[in-house]
Amino acid sequence: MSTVETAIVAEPAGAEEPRGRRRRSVALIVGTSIVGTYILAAVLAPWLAPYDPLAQDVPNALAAPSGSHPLGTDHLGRDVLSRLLHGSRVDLLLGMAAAGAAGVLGTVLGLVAGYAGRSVDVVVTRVMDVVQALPGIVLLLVLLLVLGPGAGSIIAALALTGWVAYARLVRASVLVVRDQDFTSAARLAGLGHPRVLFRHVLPNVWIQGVIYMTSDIVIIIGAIAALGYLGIGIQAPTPEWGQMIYDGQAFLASHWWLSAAPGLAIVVLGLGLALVSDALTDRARR
Amino acid sequence: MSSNDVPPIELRGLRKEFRLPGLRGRARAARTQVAVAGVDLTVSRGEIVGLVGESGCGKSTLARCVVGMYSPTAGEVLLDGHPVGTRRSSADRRRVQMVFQDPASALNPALRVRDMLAELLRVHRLVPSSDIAGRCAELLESVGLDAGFLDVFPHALSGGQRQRVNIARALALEPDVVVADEVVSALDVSVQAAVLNVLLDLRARLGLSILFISHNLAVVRQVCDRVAVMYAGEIVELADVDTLFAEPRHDYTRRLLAAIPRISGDHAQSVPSGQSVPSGQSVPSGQSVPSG
Repeated sequence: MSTVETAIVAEPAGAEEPRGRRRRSVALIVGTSIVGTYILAAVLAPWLAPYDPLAQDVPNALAAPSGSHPLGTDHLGRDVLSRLLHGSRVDLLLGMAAAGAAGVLGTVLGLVAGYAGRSVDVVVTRVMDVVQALPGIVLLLVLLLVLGPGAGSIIAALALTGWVAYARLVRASVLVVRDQDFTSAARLAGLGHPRVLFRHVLPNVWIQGVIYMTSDIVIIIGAIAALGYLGIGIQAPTPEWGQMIYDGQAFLASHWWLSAAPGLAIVVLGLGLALVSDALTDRARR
Repeated sequence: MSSNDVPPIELRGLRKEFRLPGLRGRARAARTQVAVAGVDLTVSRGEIVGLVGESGCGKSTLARCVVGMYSPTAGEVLLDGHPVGTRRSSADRRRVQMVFQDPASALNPALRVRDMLAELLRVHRLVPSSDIAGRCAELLESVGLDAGFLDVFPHALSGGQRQRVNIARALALEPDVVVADEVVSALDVSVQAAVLNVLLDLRARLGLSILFISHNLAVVRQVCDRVAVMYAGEIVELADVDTLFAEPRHDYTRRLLAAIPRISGDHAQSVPSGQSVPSGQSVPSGQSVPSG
């Protein structure tokens, strides 16, 4: 950081934008275009996909990539490209919904814990410790057994295990903001606690949660894939990337693209979100 | 407005102790830090009372008790002759406002100047909602900023401009009393004068009472009517500004005045070294109260 700032000072007046900053805005543009492409693909999947993702064509199973099937077919003869496109709907939607739910839950609890002081803080912090002490995947399994399978339960279970990170981040930021004079000034002006909390504290801390959320979405998609792998995720015929990787595993030696395509889809999405996250972190620091 | 003989703010025997953490039981009582040790002080309408003293003497703690950030251990704060309890109503809070030392930390970075001012006007219903925009511009004008600054975020303001906005924020609530805690110490000397003039002007126009906390005696001499000298949590001398500077009575005041740096002057006037402060009071040991 410091080197970048010296560079800014060293630039003559009226010179073009400092190089460091331009590189970062490039990162933001590339990141948002990657993520935007995924979202577009998810929205337009029914029109973009050349085949029905569920249509089986067993005689033509495990076909190599060709003109009619750009990514080949899987062991049931389903078009891999179509499944990949439709899978983005499931994975993106679940990933964003679960990260969003965890983010909202964690932000609210972190706000309250950081602002309310002592007794409330101790309770929330202890709960966070307990949730974090349990291995995440075990907690997920238990929750899914209790809630039963289905998209709703998966979102709920991921939110209930994932909120802790948001709560910790937000709480730490609140502790800093709470001691700033503008918070005291707001209280001295006779404003009530809810107003001070949501209008004066929240706008200065929520960005932390959003930054984490960009990377959390990928982690959550990974978790959804892991759940699919364990057989308690999204159920069988529905196209989902984790399930696709699992299905392709048996044919890895001869048909590596069956697993590689959805794997690559997750990796590139992760890269895009990471770029967005970095650019946002930078914005927040300025 | 109430009658002129009732001071807008009065402190009676105000005392604030802090318990030092880490001990229980009998030892705890011994580890109490007295920050303000029984202070009586009155600020009349339209008066600027200076409060001076070195770091840690309890100035800022006193200020925080006055505005209601701390609740006093003993004694009372009276607004217009009525004692306010430890939990102030929103209306009571409104009447005593504070301008903070660090102009950067006192403005919410996420709010435009307009939103910040408008919120206060709306919450306290100080003007009809149709007049809010006009009133915001008027407030900025009264601290010497034009209405163009309404749509600006704090990070785009200079230190002096921020402090003006802070004063405008305090004024928005139409307070009777403003506590100014080292308001110019973070500013350039050239900007200091301008901000002080804003305060003097407001006192003249609005009859504002100001408790002016500072360790800069030159500034205090310029703006204050009376000066209270605080030492170890007590007010050791209270006098008209001219009297105090001309013939300081308490020894500590003399030492404080002698400590004003002079550009040319004989060095014999500087503080006698190695001399402890003689005073009749029981001075608590370990002066380490945070002064904000």
